Amino acid sequence: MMSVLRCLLLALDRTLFCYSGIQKRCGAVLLMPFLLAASPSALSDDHFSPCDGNHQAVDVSLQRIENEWPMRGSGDKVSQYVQKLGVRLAHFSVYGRNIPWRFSVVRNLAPNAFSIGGGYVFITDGAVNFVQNESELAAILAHELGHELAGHFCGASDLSDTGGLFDIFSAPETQKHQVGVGSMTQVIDPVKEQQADQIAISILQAGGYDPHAILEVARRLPLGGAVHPMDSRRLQSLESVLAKIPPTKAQDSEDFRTIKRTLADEQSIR
Amino acid sequence: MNKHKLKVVATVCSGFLLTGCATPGQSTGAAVVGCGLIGALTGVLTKNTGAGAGAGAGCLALAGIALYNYHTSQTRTVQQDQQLYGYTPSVNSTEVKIRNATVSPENVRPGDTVKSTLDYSVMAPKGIQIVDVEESMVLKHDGKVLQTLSERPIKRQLGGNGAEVDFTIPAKLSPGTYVIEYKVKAGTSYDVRPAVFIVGT
Repeated sequence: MMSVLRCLLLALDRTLFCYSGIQKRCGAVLLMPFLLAASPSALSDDHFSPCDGNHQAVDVSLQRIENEWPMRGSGDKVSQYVQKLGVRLAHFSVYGRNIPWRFSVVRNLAPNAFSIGGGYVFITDGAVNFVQNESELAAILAHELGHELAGHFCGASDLSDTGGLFDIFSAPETQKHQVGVGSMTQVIDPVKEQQADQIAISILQAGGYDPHAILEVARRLPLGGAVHPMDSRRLQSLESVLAKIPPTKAQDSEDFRTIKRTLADEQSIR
Repeated sequence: MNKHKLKVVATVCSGFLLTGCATPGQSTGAAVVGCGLIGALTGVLTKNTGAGAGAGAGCLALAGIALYNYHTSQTRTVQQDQQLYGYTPSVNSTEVKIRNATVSPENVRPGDTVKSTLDYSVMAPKGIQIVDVEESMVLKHDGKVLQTLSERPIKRQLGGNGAEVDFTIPAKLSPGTYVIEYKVKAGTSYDVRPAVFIVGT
Protein backbone atom coordinates (compact mmCIF):
# COMPACT_ATOMS: atom_id res chain seq x y z
CA MET A 1 0.00 0.00 0.00
CA MET A 2 2.74 2.38 1.01
CA SER A 3 4.78 1.71 -2.09
CA VAL A 4 1.74 2.30 -4.29
CA LEU A 5 1.13 5.61 -2.58
CA ARG A 6 4.74 6.60 -3.01
CA CYS A 7 4.58 5.81 -6.69
CA LEU A 8 1.42 7.87 -7.00
CA LEU A 9 2.97 10.75 -5.11
CA LEU A 10 6.12 10.60 -7.20
CA ALA A 11 4.09 10.41 -10.40
CA LEU A 12 2.07 13.41 -9.26
CA ASP A 13 5.21 15.38 -8.59
CA ARG A 14 6.68 14.55 -11.94
CA THR A 15 3.39 15.47 -13.57
CA LEU A 16 3.48 18.85 -11.92
CA PHE A 17 7.07 19.56 -12.81
CA CYS A 18 7.66 17.89 -16.12
CA TYR A 19 4.64 19.23 -17.92
CA SER A 20 2.69 22.40 -17.89
CA GLY A 21 -0.96 23.06 -18.51
CA ILE A 22 -4.20 23.48 -16.64
CA GLN A 23 -5.36 19.91 -17.20
CA LYS A 24 -2.36 18.46 -15.45
CA ARG A 25 -2.67 20.84 -12.53
CA CYS A 26 -6.36 19.97 -12.18
CA GLY A 27 -5.39 16.32 -12.12
CA ALA A 28 -2.98 17.00 -9.34
CA VAL A 29 -5.55 18.88 -7.33
CA LEU A 30 -7.99 16.01 -7.69
CA LEU A 31 -5.43 13.40 -6.65
CA MET A 32 -4.00 15.28 -3.71
CA PRO A 33 -6.87 14.90 -1.19
CA PHE A 34 -6.89 11.18 -1.87
CA LEU A 35 -3.20 10.89 -1.21
CA LEU A 36 -3.34 12.95 1.94
CA ALA A 37 -6.35 11.14 3.30
CA ALA A 38 -5.16 7.68 2.39
CA SER A 39 -1.79 7.95 4.03
CA PRO A 40 -1.07 10.92 6.26
CA SER A 41 2.06 9.15 7.48
CA ALA A 42 3.51 9.11 4.00
CA LEU A 43 3.85 12.87 4.00
CA SER A 44 5.23 13.06 7.51
CA ASP A 45 7.76 10.28 6.99
CA ASP A 46 11.17 11.86 7.37
CA HIS A 47 12.79 9.01 5.50
CA PHE A 48 10.45 9.09 2.56
CA SER A 49 12.45 8.35 -0.56
CA PRO A 50 11.69 7.15 -4.07
CA CYS A 51 14.69 4.86 -3.96
CA ASP A 52 14.54 2.61 -0.93
CA GLY A 53 17.24 0.43 -2.38
CA ASN A 54 19.94 3.00 -2.93
CA HIS A 55 20.77 3.94 0.67
CA GLN A 56 23.98 1.97 0.47
CA ALA A 57 25.12 3.79 -2.66
CA VAL A 58 24.34 7.15 -1.04
CA ASP A 59 26.20 6.17 2.13
CA VAL A 60 29.27 5.14 0.13
CA SER A 61 29.23 8.44 -1.79
CA LEU A 62 28.78 10.41 1.41
CA GLN A 63 31.65 8.64 3.10
CA ARG A 64 33.94 9.37 0.17
CA ILE A 65 32.99 13.02 0.13
CA GLU A 66 33.49 13.41 3.87
CA ASN A 67 36.88 11.74 3.64
CA GLU A 68 38.15 13.72 0.68
CA TRP A 69 36.49 17.08 0.29
CA PRO A 70 36.97 20.07 2.54
CA MET A 71 33.50 21.17 3.60
CA ARG A 72 31.99 24.14 5.35
CA GLY A 73 30.48 23.07 8.68
CA SER A 74 26.74 22.97 9.21
CA GLY A 75 27.02 25.95 11.55
CA ASP A 76 28.73 28.06 8.91
CA LYS A 77 26.69 31.06 7.72
CA VAL A 78 27.05 30.19 4.05
CA SER A 79 26.01 26.59 4.75
CA GLN A 80 23.01 27.71 6.78
CA TYR A 81 21.85 30.05 4.05
CA VAL A 82 22.23 27.44 1.29
CA GLN A 83 20.37 24.88 3.43
CA LYS A 84 17.56 27.35 4.03
CA LEU A 85 17.28 28.31 0.37
CA GLY A 86 17.42 24.69 -0.79
CA VAL A 87 14.71 23.55 1.61
CA ARG A 88 12.57 26.52 0.63
CA LEU A 89 12.85 25.54 -3.03
CA ALA A 90 12.12 21.89 -2.25
CA HIS A 91 8.88 22.86 -0.55
CA PHE A 92 7.51 24.03 -3.87
CA SER A 93 7.39 20.37 -4.82
CA VAL A 94 4.82 18.12 -3.15
CA TYR A 95 7.21 15.22 -3.17
CA GLY A 96 10.18 17.42 -2.32
CA ARG A 97 8.63 18.30 1.04
CA ASN A 98 9.10 14.75 2.18
CA ILE A 99 12.77 14.34 1.48
CA PRO A 100 15.22 15.11 4.29
CA TRP A 101 17.29 17.54 2.23
CA ARG A 102 20.85 18.23 3.24
CA PHE A 103 22.64 20.94 1.33
CA SER A 104 26.37 21.23 1.92
CA VAL A 105 28.95 23.70 0.73
CA VAL A 106 32.29 22.42 -0.53
CA ARG A 107 35.34 24.60 -0.06
CA ASN A 108 36.35 24.76 -3.69
CA LEU A 109 36.65 27.87 -5.83
CA ALA A 110 35.66 26.11 -9.06
CA PRO A 111 31.94 26.53 -9.72
CA ASN A 112 30.17 23.22 -9.32
CA ALA A 113 27.09 21.62 -7.83
CA PHE A 114 26.23 17.97 -7.38
CA SER A 115 23.58 15.70 -6.04
CA ILE A 116 24.17 12.11 -4.96
CA GLY A 117 20.68 10.91 -4.09
CA GLY A 118 19.03 10.57 -0.70
CA GLY A 119 18.42 14.32 -0.61
CA TYR A 120 22.12 15.21 -0.48
CA VAL A 121 23.12 18.19 -2.58
CA PHE A 122 26.57 19.76 -2.73
CA ILE A 123 27.50 23.18 -4.05
CA THR A 124 30.91 24.80 -4.10
CA ASP A 125 31.96 28.23 -2.88
CA GLY A 126 32.89 28.83 -6.50
CA ALA A 127 29.29 28.35 -7.59
CA VAL A 128 28.03 30.80 -4.98
CA ASN A 129 30.68 33.27 -6.16
CA PHE A 130 29.74 32.59 -9.78
CA VAL A 131 26.06 33.57 -9.51
CA GLN A 132 25.09 37.18 -10.06
CA ASN A 133 21.79 37.07 -8.22
CA GLU A 134 19.71 34.87 -5.94
CA SER A 135 17.61 33.50 -8.80
CA GLU A 136 20.76 32.09 -10.39
CA LEU A 137 21.74 30.38 -7.14
CA ALA A 138 18.19 29.07 -6.80
CA ALA A 139 18.43 27.79 -10.38
CA ILE A 140 21.55 25.77 -9.61
CA LEU A 141 20.02 24.24 -6.48
CA ALA A 142 16.70 23.63 -8.23
CA HIS A 143 18.49 21.76 -11.01
CA GLU A 144 20.05 19.46 -8.42
CA LEU A 145 16.67 19.04 -6.73
CA GLY A 146 15.38 18.12 -10.17
CA HIS A 147 17.67 15.11 -10.41
CA GLU A 148 16.38 13.83 -7.09
CA LEU A 149 12.74 14.58 -7.82
CA ALA A 150 12.96 12.92 -11.21
CA GLY A 151 14.21 9.75 -9.54
CA HIS A 152 17.53 9.76 -11.37
CA PHE A 153 19.21 7.92 -8.52
CA CYS A 154 16.66 5.15 -8.29
CA GLY A 155 17.70 1.59 -8.96
CA ALA A 156 21.35 2.19 -8.32
CA SER A 157 23.13 -0.35 -6.19
CA ASP A 158 26.52 1.32 -6.17
CA LEU A 159 28.39 4.37 -7.34
CA SER A 160 29.08 3.07 -10.80
CA ASP A 161 25.35 2.69 -11.35
CA THR A 162 24.42 6.16 -10.17
CA GLY A 163 27.38 7.78 -11.77
CA GLY A 164 27.90 9.13 -8.28
CA LEU A 165 26.98 12.65 -9.10
CA PHE A 166 24.81 14.80 -11.26
CA ASP A 167 26.39 18.10 -11.98
CA ILE A 168 24.70 21.20 -13.33
CA PHE A 169 27.89 22.60 -14.76
CA SER A 170 28.76 19.71 -16.99
CA ALA A 171 27.57 19.53 -20.53
CA PRO A 172 24.79 17.24 -21.61
CA GLU A 173 26.58 15.89 -24.63
CA THR A 174 24.63 14.04 -27.24
CA GLN A 175 25.73 10.77 -25.69
CA LYS A 176 26.11 9.64 -22.14
CA HIS A 177 29.66 10.16 -20.90
CA GLN A 178 31.66 10.14 -17.69
CA VAL A 179 33.79 12.74 -15.99
CA GLY A 180 35.73 12.59 -12.75
CA VAL A 181 35.16 14.77 -9.73
CA GLY A 182 37.43 14.05 -6.82
CA SER A 183 37.48 10.26 -6.72
CA MET A 184 33.86 10.16 -7.86
CA THR A 185 32.72 9.38 -11.34
CA GLN A 186 29.92 11.35 -12.81
CA VAL A 187 27.69 10.25 -15.64
CA ILE A 188 26.35 13.02 -17.83
CA ASP A 189 23.12 11.96 -19.44
CA PRO A 190 21.61 14.60 -21.76
CA VAL A 191 18.06 13.36 -21.23
CA LYS A 192 18.36 13.50 -17.44
CA GLU A 193 19.99 16.93 -17.55
CA GLN A 194 17.10 18.30 -19.57
CA GLN A 195 14.59 16.70 -17.19
CA ALA A 196 16.36 18.33 -14.24
CA ASP A 197 16.35 21.65 -16.08
CA GLN A 198 12.60 21.43 -16.67
CA ILE A 199 11.90 20.61 -13.04
CA ALA A 200 14.17 23.47 -11.99
CA ILE A 201 12.24 25.91 -14.17
CA SER A 202 8.96 24.84 -12.53
CA ILE A 203 10.43 25.21 -9.06
CA LEU A 204 11.81 28.65 -9.87
CA GLN A 205 8.43 29.78 -11.17
CA ALA A 206 6.62 28.45 -8.11
CA GLY A 207 9.14 30.07 -5.78
CA GLY A 208 8.95 33.52 -7.36
CA TYR A 209 12.47 33.35 -8.77
CA ASP A 210 13.29 34.24 -12.34
CA PRO A 211 13.17 30.97 -14.33
CA HIS A 212 15.39 32.56 -16.97
CA ALA A 213 18.19 32.54 -14.41
CA ILE A 214 19.02 28.95 -15.29
CA LEU A 215 19.65 30.05 -18.87
CA GLU A 216 21.79 32.96 -17.71
CA VAL A 217 23.95 30.60 -15.68
CA ALA A 218 24.26 28.23 -18.63
CA ARG A 219 25.14 31.05 -21.03
CA ARG A 220 28.01 32.28 -18.90
CA LEU A 221 29.67 28.88 -18.92
CA PRO A 222 32.13 28.50 -21.78
CA LEU A 223 30.79 26.65 -24.78
CA GLY A 224 32.93 23.59 -25.35
CA GLY A 225 35.31 24.66 -22.59
CA ALA A 226 37.63 22.19 -21.01
CA VAL A 227 36.52 22.58 -17.42
CA HIS A 228 32.78 22.97 -17.60
CA PRO A 229 31.78 22.73 -21.23
CA MET A 230 28.22 23.74 -21.96
CA ASP A 231 26.70 22.00 -24.94
CA SER A 232 24.86 24.26 -27.35
CA ARG A 233 21.98 21.79 -27.51
CA ARG A 234 21.26 22.30 -23.84
CA LEU A 235 21.21 26.04 -24.35
CA GLN A 236 18.83 25.65 -27.29
CA SER A 237 16.60 23.38 -25.22
CA LEU A 238 16.48 25.91 -22.39
CA GLU A 239 15.84 28.78 -24.78
CA SER A 240 13.00 26.87 -26.37
CA VAL A 241 11.31 26.09 -23.05
CA LEU A 242 11.83 29.57 -21.64
CA ALA A 243 10.56 31.32 -24.77
CA LYS A 244 7.04 30.57 -23.52
CA ILE A 245 7.71 31.80 -19.99
CA PRO A 246 8.01 35.50 -19.19
CA PRO A 247 10.93 36.60 -17.00
CA THR A 248 10.19 37.35 -13.36
CA LYS A 249 11.62 40.32 -11.54
CA ALA A 250 12.98 38.81 -8.37
CA GLN A 251 14.83 40.77 -5.72
CA ASP A 252 17.79 39.34 -3.90
CA SER A 253 17.19 38.67 -0.21
CA GLU A 254 19.27 40.38 2.44
CA ASP A 255 20.59 36.95 3.41
CA PHE A 256 21.87 36.42 -0.13
CA ARG A 257 23.62 39.78 -0.18
CA THR A 258 25.20 39.04 3.21
CA ILE A 259 26.52 35.69 2.00
CA LYS A 260 28.00 37.25 -1.12
CA ARG A 261 29.75 39.85 1.01
CA THR A 262 30.99 37.17 3.40
CA LEU A 263 32.53 35.17 0.58
CA ALA A 264 34.07 38.25 -0.99
CA ASP A 265 35.60 39.20 2.37
CA GLU A 266 36.96 35.71 2.86
CA GLN A 267 38.56 35.73 -0.57
CA SER A 268 40.10 39.14 -0.04
CA ILE A 269 41.71 37.96 3.19
CA ARG A 270 43.10 34.99 1.34
CA MET B 1 73.44 25.33 -4.17
CA ASN B 2 76.19 26.17 -1.71
CA LYS B 3 75.53 27.44 1.76
CA HIS B 4 77.37 30.69 1.19
CA LYS B 5 74.94 31.85 -1.48
CA LEU B 6 72.05 30.89 0.70
CA LYS B 7 73.35 32.96 3.61
CA VAL B 8 73.85 35.99 1.39
CA VAL B 9 70.35 35.83 -0.01
CA ALA B 10 68.79 35.27 3.39
CA THR B 11 70.78 38.08 4.99
CA VAL B 12 69.93 40.61 2.30
CA CYS B 13 66.27 39.78 2.35
CA SER B 14 66.08 39.68 6.13
CA GLY B 15 67.72 43.07 6.38
CA PHE B 16 65.10 44.54 4.10
CA LEU B 17 62.29 42.95 5.99
CA LEU B 18 63.53 43.89 9.42
CA THR B 19 63.62 47.46 8.25
CA GLY B 20 60.08 47.06 6.97
CA CYS B 21 58.87 45.52 10.19
CA ALA B 22 60.31 48.38 12.25
CA THR B 23 58.62 51.08 10.23
CA PRO B 24 55.45 52.42 11.85
CA GLY B 25 52.44 51.94 9.60
CA GLN B 26 54.13 49.32 7.50
CA SER B 27 51.47 47.14 5.93
CA THR B 28 51.24 43.68 7.34
CA GLY B 29 50.48 42.23 3.96
CA ALA B 30 53.63 43.57 2.34
CA ALA B 31 55.84 42.30 5.11
CA VAL B 32 54.18 38.92 5.09
CA VAL B 33 54.61 38.63 1.35
CA GLY B 34 58.23 39.57 1.81
CA CYS B 35 58.68 36.93 4.46
CA GLY B 36 56.97 34.44 2.22
CA LEU B 37 59.41 35.30 -0.52
CA ILE B 38 62.34 34.58 1.73
CA GLY B 39 60.84 31.25 2.60
CA ALA B 40 60.10 30.39 -0.99
CA LEU B 41 63.50 31.55 -2.20
CA THR B 42 65.34 29.70 0.52
CA GLY B 43 63.32 26.62 -0.26
CA VAL B 44 64.25 26.85 -3.92
CA LEU B 45 67.91 27.44 -3.16
CA THR B 46 68.12 24.50 -0.81
CA LYS B 47 65.59 22.31 -2.62
CA ASN B 48 64.17 21.81 0.84
CA THR B 49 60.73 23.15 1.61
CA GLY B 50 61.26 22.79 5.33
CA ALA B 51 64.29 25.04 5.26
CA GLY B 52 62.34 27.60 3.29
CA ALA B 53 59.64 27.57 5.86
CA GLY B 54 62.09 28.15 8.69
CA ALA B 55 63.76 31.07 6.96
CA GLY B 56 60.45 32.66 6.12
CA ALA B 57 59.05 32.50 9.60
CA GLY B 58 61.59 34.40 11.62
CA CYS B 59 60.64 37.88 10.51
CA LEU B 60 56.95 37.78 11.35
CA ALA B 61 56.92 40.13 14.29
CA LEU B 62 54.06 42.43 13.36
CA ALA B 63 51.20 43.19 15.75
CA GLY B 64 53.09 41.62 18.55
CA ILE B 65 53.38 37.95 17.64
CA ALA B 66 56.50 36.44 16.17
CA LEU B 67 56.70 32.89 14.95
CA TYR B 68 59.75 30.73 15.43
CA ASN B 69 60.75 27.08 15.19
CA TYR B 70 58.65 26.64 12.10
CA HIS B 71 58.88 23.01 11.03
CA THR B 72 57.14 21.37 8.13
CA SER B 73 57.23 17.72 7.25
CA GLN B 74 55.42 14.92 5.57
CA THR B 75 53.70 13.05 8.39
CA ARG B 76 52.14 10.21 6.40
CA THR B 77 52.84 8.64 3.05
CA VAL B 78 50.02 8.68 0.56
CA GLN B 79 49.29 5.02 1.33
CA GLN B 80 49.22 5.66 5.08
CA ASP B 81 46.99 8.66 4.60
CA GLN B 82 44.57 6.75 2.40
CA GLN B 83 44.43 3.93 4.93
CA LEU B 84 43.93 6.26 7.88
CA TYR B 85 41.23 8.42 6.30
CA GLY B 86 39.69 5.86 4.01
CA TYR B 87 39.80 7.77 0.77
CA THR B 88 40.42 6.21 -2.59
CA PRO B 89 43.61 6.70 -4.59
CA SER B 90 41.92 7.59 -7.87
CA VAL B 91 41.41 11.26 -7.15
CA ASN B 92 40.56 13.16 -10.33
CA SER B 93 41.41 16.60 -9.03
CA THR B 94 43.76 18.10 -6.49
CA GLU B 95 42.23 18.31 -3.04
CA VAL B 96 43.46 19.47 0.34
CA LYS B 97 41.70 18.67 3.58
CA ILE B 98 42.73 19.72 7.07
CA ARG B 99 42.62 16.80 9.48
CA ASN B 100 43.69 18.56 12.64
CA ALA B 101 44.68 22.02 13.84
CA THR B 102 45.57 22.77 17.43
CA VAL B 103 47.06 25.38 19.71
CA SER B 104 48.65 24.11 22.89
CA PRO B 105 48.21 25.01 25.67
CA GLU B 106 44.77 26.53 25.19
CA ASN B 107 44.93 28.70 28.31
CA VAL B 108 47.91 31.02 28.32
CA ARG B 109 49.32 34.20 29.84
CA PRO B 110 51.55 36.87 28.32
CA GLY B 111 55.07 35.53 28.00
CA ASP B 112 53.95 31.91 27.58
CA THR B 113 55.15 29.93 24.60
CA VAL B 114 52.46 28.33 22.50
CA LYS B 115 52.83 25.49 20.05
CA SER B 116 50.60 25.53 17.02
CA THR B 117 50.20 22.44 14.85
CA LEU B 118 48.50 21.80 11.56
CA ASP B 119 47.92 18.46 9.89
CA TYR B 120 46.33 17.99 6.48
CA SER B 121 46.02 15.64 3.54
CA VAL B 122 47.10 16.44 0.02
CA MET B 123 45.42 14.42 -2.72
CA ALA B 124 46.05 14.61 -6.43
CA PRO B 125 45.45 12.67 -9.63
CA LYS B 126 47.67 9.75 -10.55
CA GLY B 127 51.11 10.75 -11.76
CA ILE B 128 51.38 13.87 -9.62
CA GLN B 129 53.79 13.57 -6.70
CA ILE B 130 54.29 17.17 -5.62
CA VAL B 131 51.59 19.79 -5.24
CA ASP B 132 51.93 23.55 -4.82
CA VAL B 133 50.15 24.44 -1.61
CA GLU B 134 49.56 27.80 0.05
CA GLU B 135 49.54 27.65 3.83
CA SER B 136 48.46 30.50 6.03
CA MET B 137 47.77 31.31 9.65
CA VAL B 138 45.66 34.28 10.65
CA LEU B 139 45.14 35.55 14.20
CA LYS B 140 41.58 36.67 14.92
CA HIS B 141 39.86 38.24 17.89
CA ASP B 142 36.14 39.00 18.10
CA GLY B 143 35.79 37.94 14.47
CA LYS B 144 38.33 40.48 13.24
CA VAL B 145 41.70 39.75 11.71
CA LEU B 146 44.47 41.02 14.00
CA GLN B 147 47.45 39.69 12.12
CA THR B 148 48.40 37.39 9.30
CA LEU B 149 50.96 35.28 11.09
CA SER B 150 52.11 33.35 8.07
CA GLU B 151 51.22 33.15 4.42
CA ARG B 152 53.44 31.32 2.04
CA PRO B 153 53.63 28.85 -0.84
CA ILE B 154 55.16 25.47 -0.26
CA LYS B 155 55.63 22.33 -2.27
CA ARG B 156 54.06 19.34 -0.59
CA GLN B 157 54.16 15.65 -1.26
CA LEU B 158 50.94 13.68 -1.48
CA GLY B 159 49.70 12.19 1.77
CA GLY B 160 49.72 13.67 5.25
CA ASN B 161 51.60 16.89 5.83
CA GLY B 162 52.23 18.81 8.99
CA ALA B 163 53.43 22.19 10.15
CA GLU B 164 54.49 23.11 13.67
CA VAL B 165 55.32 26.56 14.88
CA ASP B 166 55.97 28.18 18.24
CA PHE B 167 55.11 31.70 19.26
CA THR B 168 55.21 33.73 22.45
CA ILE B 169 52.17 35.54 23.75
CA PRO B 170 53.15 39.22 23.83
CA ALA B 171 52.54 41.36 26.89
CA LYS B 172 50.30 43.76 24.98
CA LEU B 173 47.83 41.07 23.93
CA SER B 174 44.63 41.78 25.85
CA PRO B 175 43.00 39.00 27.85
CA GLY B 176 40.33 37.18 25.93
CA THR B 177 39.63 34.45 23.44
CA TYR B 178 41.69 34.33 20.27
CA VAL B 179 41.40 32.20 17.18
CA ILE B 180 44.15 31.07 14.88
CA GLU B 181 42.58 30.30 11.54
CA TYR B 182 44.60 27.87 9.47
CA LYS B 183 44.11 27.73 5.74
CA VAL B 184 45.56 25.48 3.09
CA LYS B 185 44.91 25.84 -0.61
CA ALA B 186 45.93 23.82 -3.65
CA GLY B 187 44.45 24.58 -7.04
CA THR B 188 40.83 25.51 -6.45
CA SER B 189 40.52 23.34 -3.35
CA TYR B 190 41.04 24.91 0.05
CA ASP B 191 40.25 24.19 3.67
CA VAL B 192 39.98 26.29 6.79
CA ARG B 193 40.15 25.23 10.43
CA PRO B 194 40.16 27.38 13.57
CA ALA B 195 42.02 26.66 16.79
CA VAL B 196 41.19 28.62 19.93
CA PHE B 197 43.35 29.83 22.80
CA ILE B 198 42.48 31.98 25.77
CA VAL B 199 44.76 34.66 27.12
CA GLY B 200 44.35 35.21 30.86
CA THR B 201 45.72 37.94 33.06
